[in-house]
Amino acid sequence: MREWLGLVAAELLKVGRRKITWVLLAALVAANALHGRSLRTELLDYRQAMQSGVGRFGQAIAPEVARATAADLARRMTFPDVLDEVWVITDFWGVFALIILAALQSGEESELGTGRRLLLRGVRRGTWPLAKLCALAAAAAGFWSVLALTILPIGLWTEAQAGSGGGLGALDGHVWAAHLGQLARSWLATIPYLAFSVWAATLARGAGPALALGLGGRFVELGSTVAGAVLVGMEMMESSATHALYAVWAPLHALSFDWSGKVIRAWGNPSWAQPLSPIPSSPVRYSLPWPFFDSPLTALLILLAWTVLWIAWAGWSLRRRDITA
Amino acid sequence: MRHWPGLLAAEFAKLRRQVVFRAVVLSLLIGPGVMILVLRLVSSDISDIVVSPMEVVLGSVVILAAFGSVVLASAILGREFDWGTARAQLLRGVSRFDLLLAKLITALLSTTAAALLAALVGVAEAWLAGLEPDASQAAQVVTRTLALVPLGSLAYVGVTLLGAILGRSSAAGMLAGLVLFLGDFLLSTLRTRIPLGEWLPVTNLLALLGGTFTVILPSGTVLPESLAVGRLLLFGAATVVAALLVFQRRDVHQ
Repeated sequence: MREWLGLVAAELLKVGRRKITWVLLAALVAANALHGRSLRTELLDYRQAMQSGVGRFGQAIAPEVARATAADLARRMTFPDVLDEVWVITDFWGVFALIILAALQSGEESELGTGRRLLLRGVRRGTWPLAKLCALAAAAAGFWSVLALTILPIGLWTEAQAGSGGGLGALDGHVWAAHLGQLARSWLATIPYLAFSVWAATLARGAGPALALGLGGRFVELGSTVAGAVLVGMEMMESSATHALYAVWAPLHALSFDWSGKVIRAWGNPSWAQPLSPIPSSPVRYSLPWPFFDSPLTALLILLAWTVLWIAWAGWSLRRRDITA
Repeated sequence: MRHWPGLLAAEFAKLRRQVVFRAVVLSLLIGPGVMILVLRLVSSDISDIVVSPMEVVLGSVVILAAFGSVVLASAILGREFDWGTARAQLLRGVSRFDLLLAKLITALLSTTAAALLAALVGVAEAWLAGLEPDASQAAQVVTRTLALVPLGSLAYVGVTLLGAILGRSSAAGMLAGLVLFLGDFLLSTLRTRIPLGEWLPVTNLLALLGGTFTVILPSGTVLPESLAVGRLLLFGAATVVAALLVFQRRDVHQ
């Protein structure tokens, strides 16, 4: 156990010494700040549209709609809503950053030839992928904590641009607890992606193919989510035109990391839960179409099963095959 | 010049033995089949959804080939850095220019060959699925694949080679190529005009793929074919020249 903890500590040390770790973290902070800036641009556009009746893409827009949209934007730019607003960027781009880090961290042992030296030192092959995963999960927790802290000054800056709001004074204990909960749930949803990258790098004996599999897979998952927005809507309307496609697509997507991650992040209230009622206060609430689920426990079990599968497969592959590239 | 046949043969032999090559060919062969299956599963008239089913076959081949070219280019050059064989290659007396050009040609030719095979399989699958492509449509898919795959892949291969040279690893090359491909794809499909967005390779590729794909582009983006071809060529040539210049000046050892 002590030896294994030493391995995790060594992996963490390597993560910390990588230049790309800090580059990716800085890029995520910059993306959060840019989102704050783009919200301001959008707000100014809608404020202008209240007078001119011309929208940000040159489209005609009714003054009442512009006023309502500007008010909604101002609400999203002030505390406590700005925390959720900016965190969406971390949730989206952070997964890409962690996949890159995990693929590089796991693939380098084969590429640099250090894997063989590790084995000569007595490290057991089966425990190696788990040590990598634990170190990467710890690094992800570090990433998420830094980003959760930097959201505060970014939120203050965004709020100042909206010209309203009560600053950090608007945050009570309940909001802080909710923010911490969001941070923990969002972190939890990243773990299967890290396990997948460790598996890909271990099987391919290199970081390059792991990057292609990890980033490509995430891209396919996002494409599937976009297609799902249409397919779920059609299914809810009981359309027969896309039912056959839905029957093939839905079970695959329900088992994806993305869906379980959504359920965990929203804690039982994923965005498709009300696909036909985009207004939150709408009295009409639709249940999820089969096979989608909104139980956080089911989502946690699915993500755990994926994580165990990838790590067990990686350990098995290390025991069965030579470790060099 | 007399090095060339041997150099190219060696590059192809090395690539053929890599697992990633088989993985790229397999994903290219599967791609059109998946798209045809999706079209067949939609029970309404296909013409309501796409301008032409064969454009979907062509699009899936060309876009997957662009992704595949990144994977192949990073494996072809990056592995030399990973394994420390880049220096050994240069000790054979081959100039850096020749070596890089041989790798570039290998990446482009192998991607195009795999894409051609995928296009033929895609046409056959479309026929089997009852989409009834006629001979001229089939010929168009094949000829456009032969033209668009090397043209579209040039920019991605150039950026991947540049990344591999700067980072001296296959991972750095893969990262550079994938960041261009995925970032480019996200930006091109935002449906919002961005500064210099018309230079993005995916924007120009979508413009060349036909009516089914141009609807994804921001409204009001008018891209004549000659302009899209010119931009893709310029972008690709610029990245390849940059890769050649950097390769001439940098040490090849990690």
